[in-house]
Amino acid sequence: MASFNFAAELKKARRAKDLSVTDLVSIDDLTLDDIELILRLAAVFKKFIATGNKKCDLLRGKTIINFFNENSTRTRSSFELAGKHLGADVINVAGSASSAKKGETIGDTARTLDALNSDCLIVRDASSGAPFQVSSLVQAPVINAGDGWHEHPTQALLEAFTLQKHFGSKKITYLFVGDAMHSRVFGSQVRLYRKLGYKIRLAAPATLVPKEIRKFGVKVFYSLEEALVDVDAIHAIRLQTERAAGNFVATGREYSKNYCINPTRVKLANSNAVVLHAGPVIREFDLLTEVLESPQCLVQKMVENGLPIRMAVEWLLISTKIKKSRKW
Amino acid sequence: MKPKKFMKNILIKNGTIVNPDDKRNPERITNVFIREGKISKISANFDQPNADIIINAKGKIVTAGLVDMHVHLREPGREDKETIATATRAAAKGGVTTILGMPNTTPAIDNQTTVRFVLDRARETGVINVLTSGSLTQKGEGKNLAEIWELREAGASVIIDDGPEEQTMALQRLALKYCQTFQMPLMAHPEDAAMKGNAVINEGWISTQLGLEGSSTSTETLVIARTIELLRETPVPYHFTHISAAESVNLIRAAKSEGLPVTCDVTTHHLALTDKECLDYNTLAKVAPPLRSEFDRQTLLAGLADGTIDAIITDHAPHLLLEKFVPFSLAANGIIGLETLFSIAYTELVVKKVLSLSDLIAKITINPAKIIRTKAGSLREGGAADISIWDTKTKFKINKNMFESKGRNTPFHGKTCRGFANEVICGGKLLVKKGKLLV
Repeated sequence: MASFNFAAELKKARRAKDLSVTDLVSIDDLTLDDIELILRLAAVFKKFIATGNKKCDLLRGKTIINFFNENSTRTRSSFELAGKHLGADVINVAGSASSAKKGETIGDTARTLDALNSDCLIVRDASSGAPFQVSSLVQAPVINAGDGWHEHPTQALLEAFTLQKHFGSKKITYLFVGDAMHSRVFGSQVRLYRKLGYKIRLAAPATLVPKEIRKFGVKVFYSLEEALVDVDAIHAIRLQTERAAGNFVATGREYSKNYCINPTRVKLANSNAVVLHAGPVIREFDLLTEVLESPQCLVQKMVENGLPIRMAVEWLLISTKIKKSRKW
Repeated sequence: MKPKKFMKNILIKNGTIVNPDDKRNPERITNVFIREGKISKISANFDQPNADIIINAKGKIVTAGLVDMHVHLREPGREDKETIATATRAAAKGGVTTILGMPNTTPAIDNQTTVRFVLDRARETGVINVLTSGSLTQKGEGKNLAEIWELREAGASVIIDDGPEEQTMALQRLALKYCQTFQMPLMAHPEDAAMKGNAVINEGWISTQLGLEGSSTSTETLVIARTIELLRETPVPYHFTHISAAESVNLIRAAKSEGLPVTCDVTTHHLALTDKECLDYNTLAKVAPPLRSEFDRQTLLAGLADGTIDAIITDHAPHLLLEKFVPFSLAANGIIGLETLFSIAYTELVVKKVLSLSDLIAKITINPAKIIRTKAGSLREGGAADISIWDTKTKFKINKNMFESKGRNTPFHGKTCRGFANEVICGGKLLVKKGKLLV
């Protein structure tokens, strides 16, 4: 471990660069350089954590606010831990459900948050666009931790980081399976993988395919079996059981018969194909337990990689020299 | 209207009169003399050097005051958003001298008392002609028919439930027959409420990018198609308001050529904007029906040009700022338009050569006037002196902070336009002079 000089590695990876953005609300805003910078720094933070360290002082004296207007355990604790590892003070503000539903305007919400004088806001909201709207009204950088059906950028970045570890810079063939329509993780991933030059496919019933999805460069299949041929990575999107009630699929049972990732189906893909899921996994609907617990499945690695990715993003945005100038 | 005695007489000199209702003389340079609230003379040879007010209209366009057949007055009930006083002042500033209020107020205009209240308030506080519609169903809920005969007797001009269609096909069929009984013209907001669900935007590439629930154009076209089928059985005058989808134009064109008594209109925002305007979660562009695709917009323009679309409206829908300053999915639907109706229509349609000036004027004066059966919308000797004089040459920027309306919810703020009301006269009274409201 003595060979690992954290400060030097960090400096080398950062190359005195800043992100081109002052907030992370959509993958659309990131350049390829931005993405590479985040992934490069994440690799250093990952090593740092692997050395058994839990704390550095990069963000000592800074305050990060987790502003979550929707339930979350994994994402919130991952962001909280990332901030704490960086030495920042982290507080959680749970605006139970959306403040807007109680009649508060986005402007008032933003003013309240600004008054707390934080250095970074992590925003999750049930309404698509809310983090974007907040970001244009507050001084602090805003990180989107998931908004409606729109985006969840760090979740996409941590998966890209996991895939990069596995495939290097290869332009892989990547298959989404399931509910792309209501998935914000899909929203960020599809934007990110398009930038990275992946060949992107979606296998889903037509009821769950967003309109004009082809404009994202996605090839749509109704048959999972056909979609799997030549695939390097299979991402099962969680079947939101509440959607079945909306008749997007007849029943979870029938859905799983056609779209659950089982060992037979995995065999249709390339031999070294990996299986991914953003969690929480609905076992036997999204993935068969046998697949989930197989070495091909990278779900656990993804959870681990969430931490270094969020450390990288938080550090980059808080230590940036660029002034904010976003307008809604 | 105020009492007409002691009214000043007004001479409008050398204006270019555009009056599509006069088939022999739709466009000419002439003088107009106004006396006792009426147009007393239209003639190039007529002069009145001693007129109380002389307006030199050389180089300006003189038309009948505009008729907007779709306005949300918000009074009674939501006077914080707009009142009849503020809406009619906004209308006057925009050169609109006759408006038709929608019945989805609080309480709804589903009874004779509320009709009379609105018309009384308009006489007391309004500065232009105010007509009102009445609800088709009680409380506009789409369940039980309102007292349509009494609504008519009290003075309602047309019957409409403005809002996505809640009614069943069975009820709609009965409604047509009931209105046929009393010769009451019908209007409708063709959007199926159940099909629309929680959608907040047009379904398409923009909704996919923004992660917002979209509604398909079939949400509108299915209602139009089924209504046309019901009209074959019960052919009553039927007006589809604010159509937004390409296929709606095709359906209505076919129904007209079949001889069915259908008419329709489009809003200024649907003819000027597309769902792209919603990018960056621009809640000012959130409206029902939603702004559609460029293909839909182009088809609407073609429908205006070939006469399928009879009228242009504002669907003036004032909201409080705070109702728009929330996440997109929670924001109120609606755009204000009384003060931008002519500027947007002129800039988008005449400057861009979609319509001739005369065709545009027809769609914002005589056509809507005929649909709602009012005498407004035409310049004729002996008729009411409702006149607007337009500067169509000067470029200007729309500034929402100068609006008379209480609403500020417009996506057109800052847009460079041509066409504003220099002078506006209603019932012989000069309301606007050199672009400034006098009342």
